[in-house]
Amino acid sequence: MDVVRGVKQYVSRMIAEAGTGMKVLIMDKETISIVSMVYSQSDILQKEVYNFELLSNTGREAMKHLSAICIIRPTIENIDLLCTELKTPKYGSYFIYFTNRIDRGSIEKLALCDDQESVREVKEYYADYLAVGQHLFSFNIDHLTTSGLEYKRVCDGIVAALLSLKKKPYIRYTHSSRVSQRLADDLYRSINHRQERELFDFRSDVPPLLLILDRKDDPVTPLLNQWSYQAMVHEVFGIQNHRVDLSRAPGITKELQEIVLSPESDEFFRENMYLNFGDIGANIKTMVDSFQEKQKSHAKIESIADMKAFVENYPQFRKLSGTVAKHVAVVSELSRIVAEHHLMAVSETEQDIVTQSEKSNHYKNVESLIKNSAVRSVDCLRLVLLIVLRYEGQLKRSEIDHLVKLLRMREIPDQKLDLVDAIMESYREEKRTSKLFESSNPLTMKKFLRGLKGVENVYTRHKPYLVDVLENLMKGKLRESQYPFMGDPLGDKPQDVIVFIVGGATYAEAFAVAQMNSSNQGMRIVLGSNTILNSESFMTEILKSSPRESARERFRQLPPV
Amino acid sequence: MAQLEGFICPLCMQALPGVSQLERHVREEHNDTATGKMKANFKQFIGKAKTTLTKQRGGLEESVVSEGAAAVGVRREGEEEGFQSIIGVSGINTSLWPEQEFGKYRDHLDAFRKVRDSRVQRIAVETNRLLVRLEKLLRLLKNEHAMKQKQLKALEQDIVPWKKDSESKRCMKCSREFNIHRRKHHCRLCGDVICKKCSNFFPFSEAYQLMSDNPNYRSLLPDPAATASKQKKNKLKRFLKDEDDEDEDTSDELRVCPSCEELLVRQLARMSSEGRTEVVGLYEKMQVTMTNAEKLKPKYLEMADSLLSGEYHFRLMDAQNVRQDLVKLYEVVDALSKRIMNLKYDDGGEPSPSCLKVQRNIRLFASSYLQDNLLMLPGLPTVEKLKDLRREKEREIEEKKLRLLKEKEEKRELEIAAAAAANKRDSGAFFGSKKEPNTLQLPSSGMKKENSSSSRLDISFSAIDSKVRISPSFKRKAKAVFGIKESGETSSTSNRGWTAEAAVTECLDDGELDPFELQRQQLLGYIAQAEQAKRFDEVATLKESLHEIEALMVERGTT
Repeated sequence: MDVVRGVKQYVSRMIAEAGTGMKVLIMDKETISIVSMVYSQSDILQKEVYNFELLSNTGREAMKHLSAICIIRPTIENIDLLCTELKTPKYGSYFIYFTNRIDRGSIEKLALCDDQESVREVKEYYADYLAVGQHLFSFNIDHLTTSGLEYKRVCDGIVAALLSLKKKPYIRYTHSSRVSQRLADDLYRSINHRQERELFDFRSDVPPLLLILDRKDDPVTPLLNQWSYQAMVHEVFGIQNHRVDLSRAPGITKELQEIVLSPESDEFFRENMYLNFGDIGANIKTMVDSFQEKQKSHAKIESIADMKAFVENYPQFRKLSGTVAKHVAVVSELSRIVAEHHLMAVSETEQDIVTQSEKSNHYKNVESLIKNSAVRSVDCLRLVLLIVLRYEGQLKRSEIDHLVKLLRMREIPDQKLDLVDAIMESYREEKRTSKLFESSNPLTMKKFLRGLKGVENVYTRHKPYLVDVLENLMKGKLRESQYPFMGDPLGDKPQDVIVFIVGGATYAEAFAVAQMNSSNQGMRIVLGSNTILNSESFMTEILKSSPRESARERFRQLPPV
Repeated sequence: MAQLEGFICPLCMQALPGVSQLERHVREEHNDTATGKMKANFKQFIGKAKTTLTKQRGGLEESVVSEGAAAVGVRREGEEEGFQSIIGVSGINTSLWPEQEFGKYRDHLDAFRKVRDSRVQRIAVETNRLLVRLEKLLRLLKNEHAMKQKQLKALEQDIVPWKKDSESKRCMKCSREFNIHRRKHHCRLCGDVICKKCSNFFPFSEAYQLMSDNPNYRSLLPDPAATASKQKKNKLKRFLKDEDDEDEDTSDELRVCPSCEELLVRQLARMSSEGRTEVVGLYEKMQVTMTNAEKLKPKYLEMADSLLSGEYHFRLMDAQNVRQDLVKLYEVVDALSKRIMNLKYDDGGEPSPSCLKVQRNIRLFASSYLQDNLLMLPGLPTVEKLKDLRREKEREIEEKKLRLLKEKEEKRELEIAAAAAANKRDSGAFFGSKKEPNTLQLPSSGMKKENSSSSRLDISFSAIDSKVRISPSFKRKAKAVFGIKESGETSSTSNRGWTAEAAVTECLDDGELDPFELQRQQLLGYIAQAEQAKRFDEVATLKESLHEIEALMVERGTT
């Protein structure tokens, strides 16, 4: 149940199968990201791969002395491109790996083009998803509906993830979500397809579970400011395929404008990605101190022994110096933003709103924060969205209008103000399976008390709804009416769970899953989604999926009269 | 980002252009300081072992020594893992899960081959037929001057039966009807009737190329004298013309239909695809050199470790030679990769961008390989230092022997006191446990890249292990061989119980009757021979037996 290892093993096997000698990797736009998520270019270089090319770049020069390893998705375009490639081969030999299932017809079509007999391998290796972390995968697809190429892509990707993990799960889905139901249905068919039966021939004592959730059930988590390192960086800067754009940080040096934060290649990040912002600062200080000490000690190398130690540590040393510079830049920019825009105060209010029940107080707090010019507009907007969600049916229309008016005074464009209506439209309680804020329920009191106890941290009181779902699942209390089975009900306390969230997951949820995994409660969880959200991309998603917007979209698609 | 070439000496930060320069620089400039420090380190290490040993007198010898080694090993490891300890602050642990097994896969090669092979076979048959015809046509062309026109044409049609004009109303390729504007032509290879538009022209130069792996290739080539003459050329022209051709000039091409041309072009591509470029040659050389170096490296590491721990199994000179060989191999890798990077085309033109990229990446690969290997190579002690090391080792052995004797005496006293049966069991257990470390084998190859710290622990352990095992007689012999003066030994001999033991060994030594010693001497001889012949595998096995014998001798010496 480690998706990073899953992809890594596939890729390294591919390269190993091509044998020794000079090699080139031929990929498509998607597989290039899939591979680069788990291997850095220098890692691959160590395996005698000296060039990387896109299959679609037909102007490639012929280099017969290279073996080509093609890692491509089995799309129609790719197969056509590959056919053309094989008719006039540019490389000495071809090792072809499809990242998903390919039909017999396409294989035959390719075979008829290989007159030069340059193909050595044709295999399906199911590395067809972005392995973001050991237990987190994504497809970088923003808006998932039940139609279009993206939907098929996600379906295929989930199937590939299951195959790479060697799991044949039974499926549960979210009853209230149409996409979830459709996905469950299609996946069920794929897994139990007559022709694919030999593919999903895995044995396990306790059948694994594929649980399909919908973002609509928890609009709160992606709207909150986050304080664990990875989630916070994604919230503030945005992480795209492990890459972070720091170019807007004042006074940033050129080489730090775009940095890579990959738990695979960056040990410090791997160890600290789930720690709180405050702890990160302390750890960075320790790292800087010891780095300086090392630097000092390296400055006075006196003997072969010193030299040996230096040289042996040199790659690590250099890596560390890069790591130090990188994380110092990230953390100092984070602290600047936190201080400048009162993110602590914003976050505290956010947490108050979602964990307590004090409508008038919260309303006042939000109002005063909106009036504070140091607070960013985006934070004001999210506060309004949260309070609207929280006190659905309790806030008067005039009160909401007042807040919107205040937002408008901050020159937030009208299109973004539509969010307030859009979120009430698509995320209101009757559309959710979940009870996020059980106001009329004694449970709220329990939550409230838990808040009062001043538990761990005022800024991290909120727990994602996913945690409730998984805890219920662990106890065997996940209600069948809300999360029905696709096909026959099989067991209710699974050991291996693959959770797929339609509409986007968050790093906060990945963190929660990691915590549950490491607490070793007998359940192993892998989290997947079409994308990984932060508040900004979630707001875009809300607008895209609002009924009004989709009506407008449909109208736009109509042919002109 | 511009790639920096060369290395910086980590001792004095002087920039050096290449590997060999760095190697020489370190050897010449830093050897003294380095060895001084190493010596100090070693003394400290021995001292520590000594103190632990003397403190725990009652304990079992072997376990104390290995404990000492472990302590030292841990200390070193701690130093090296400084980086890790900075980083290892927190983290979420999912390593409790079972290892992710290799995912599902599906192989389509058989299905692919089935389709491809049947097609390729069909093509091969057709191509072969065309090639046979082409060969005959070319032969005809060569002898063409001996014949008259009419004859020629007949002979040509003999080779390739032409389809009858009268039976073809339409072009057999594009199906257009023939008329006064669309005249009939014949493909010279399959004989099909085709129109002018569907006629392709296959150059004779390429036709000769196709024949190049034919055993009769030479006899097919046109006579240079014959082709030179203008007259012949005209004749050639005439030969190539159809009766119905009037306005075409195809003096050095053959009229063929598209399908025949496709087959010929494909065949040409097949023949040229095996072309090797200079990069390949150089790269293969580099790979071979790397594998050679990989083979030699463990031997050198073993020699260096043995010498640095003061053993006599290898001669310093041999180790130096092996080191030189190894460094030479690395230099070759360095030079080859540099040449690959700077490779230009034969005509002096710049390689294309992607070629350049490949070449540059090869160099990058090689330099990181050199960083991992050459710069990690442990140094060798100088002659004086080796003496010191060996003296240290001897002293240690003396001490060890001394203690063993002492222990034995204590034991003897105990034996007198205690019951005989219990004694026997006791001593049995003692020797039983003592044998254990002997089964430990030296790690055949020392430092591997991935787990250098853990394997170093092994090395230090095995170094001590072998130190313990060296027999006193061997030491004495070696002293004679190497002419090392005994110093500080008198002080240690003053201890009680030593003289008796010394007498026994002396006796054995003088008589040269000890079968173990004889065997040992023989083994040493074999090792020397094997080393001379550079058969390191044998050296390794011989050394193993040497260790065993020495272990036995140590045991015997104490009983």
